[in-house]
Amino acid sequence: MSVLSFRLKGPLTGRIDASPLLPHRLAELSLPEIAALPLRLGRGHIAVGDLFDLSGSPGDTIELEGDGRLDFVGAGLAGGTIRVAGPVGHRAGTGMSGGSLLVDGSAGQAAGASMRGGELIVRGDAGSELGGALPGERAGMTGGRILVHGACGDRAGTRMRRGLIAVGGDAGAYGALHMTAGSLVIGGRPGAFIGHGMRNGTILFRGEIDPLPGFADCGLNRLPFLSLLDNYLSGLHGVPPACRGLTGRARRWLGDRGFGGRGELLACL
Amino acid sequence: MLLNGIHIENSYAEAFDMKATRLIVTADTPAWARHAGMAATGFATSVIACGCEAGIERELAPEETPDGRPGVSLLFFATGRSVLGKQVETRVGQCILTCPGTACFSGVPRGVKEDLIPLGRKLRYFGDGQQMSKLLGGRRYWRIPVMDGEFLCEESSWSVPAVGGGNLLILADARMAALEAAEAAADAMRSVPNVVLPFPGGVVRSGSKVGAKYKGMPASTNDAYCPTLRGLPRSRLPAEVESVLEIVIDGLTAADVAAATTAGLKCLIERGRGSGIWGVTAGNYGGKLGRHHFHLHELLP
Repeated sequence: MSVLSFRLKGPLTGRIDASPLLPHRLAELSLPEIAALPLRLGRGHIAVGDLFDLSGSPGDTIELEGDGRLDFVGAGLAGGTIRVAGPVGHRAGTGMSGGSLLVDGSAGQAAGASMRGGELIVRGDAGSELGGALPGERAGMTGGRILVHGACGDRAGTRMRRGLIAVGGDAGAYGALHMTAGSLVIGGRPGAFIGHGMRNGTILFRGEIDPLPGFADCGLNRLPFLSLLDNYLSGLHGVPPACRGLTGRARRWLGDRGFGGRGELLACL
Repeated sequence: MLLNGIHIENSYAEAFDMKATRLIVTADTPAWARHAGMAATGFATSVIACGCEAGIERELAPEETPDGRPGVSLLFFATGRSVLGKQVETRVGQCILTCPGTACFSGVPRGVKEDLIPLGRKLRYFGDGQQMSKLLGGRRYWRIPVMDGEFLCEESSWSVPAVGGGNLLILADARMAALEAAEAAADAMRSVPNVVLPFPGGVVRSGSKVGAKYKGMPASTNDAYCPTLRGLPRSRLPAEVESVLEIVIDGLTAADVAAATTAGLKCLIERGRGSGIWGVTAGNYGGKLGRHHFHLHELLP
């Protein structure tokens, strides 16, 4: 397995669009060719070689030194692995269709938005719009999985229609806004207005909440599906521990009935 | 050939290509998983009139099942994919969906579209619009609201090639000797994975031959092995034999059927002539109907 490493030469002077740094796009290039690639820096450009020290050889894995001003890291990733030591900026892993993006730090806004496949793991916190819809898109996430060990911001899983988002910590307001289907698992507490406008899909969380009036309280239930989900999560790499250990018993709300929805909120015990 | 006093005839079992699928059924307790499994594989002894042949392959511990509850593994065999699909759909709908606390999963690897056996894909309509699906690890599961909670059912299973109709005929001095020998052999053969013995208790007393003197009878009694007809010229039974029982074996591969045959032979030979077993043979149709031939002399333990 060949690994190509990018180490920052110094502090960034502006926001960088790191989307060209994808394993399958670099695999056919030589190190000098990669060093000459232009990256957008603010309103201008900078060569990869002026920004990073390169080592290793191009292949299916990229190791990147992280920075909160590196945007679009792994955006459009279709295969291979990107490992980031440190935080990433906004829109990491947007539109991913395959491969793995592992962030050993926090992620900015809209991480994994409009994701179609693959795996995004964030060891720290994630900003707002996690796994949401990109501006102008009718659907949000349509496949793959996003595993965040820390907390996440507002509007996680907006317009989600397939796939899994698991957040180890608390979630911000308007989680799963207008969700069509899929699963949002929150290891901590959900924020206000959770599931507003949801049509279908599942939102799991811990503890009691006072949901929006569009949700019908169906009381406590034993759901064999939760054991199946727990087994599935246990078999995955990188699932936040707080999202595991589902007992199979949950309080269930159906909604959002104000929108003709029959999705579910599950408060797992 | 005489082994431990038992005649092992130089004969072979003739078996057929079939299509099969495996279902994993779980429930809150092993007993309720067994109830569901027994019902779903009931009236499934022979494709001649039951549509399929089926049985409980084995019981499963909680750690072996997808949802971590006790379960049973069921095998269903039929002559083709479409009849198998129809049988499985009806049986799951009437015997597993209805049984308290059960869930139903495919027990075979994901196959191609042409081999699809619908499970929840059709049963979900029982949910009348309140059903929900979940896609986990590339497999879709349906959750159908029922009066004791939810029926969890995988969307589909797949058919796999299989072999049906392997058999052993046990020839004994007396009915009880034949029955005890058959029970012991069936127990030994059930421990082989990937096979079921579809008849009641694994044993069948009405072995059949192809055709009959009556029109419209595809099969009729195997008169050559009926002890009450021992005196007729076409009888294959020696004077000492008063009872014959057959064990029919369906397996996922020819190797599985062969392994079960060997396990049965081993058990019978160990019991010896003293237990009342006169000999062992196998049923065939001259070798022209079935592609798989299991020669007893080649399968001795």
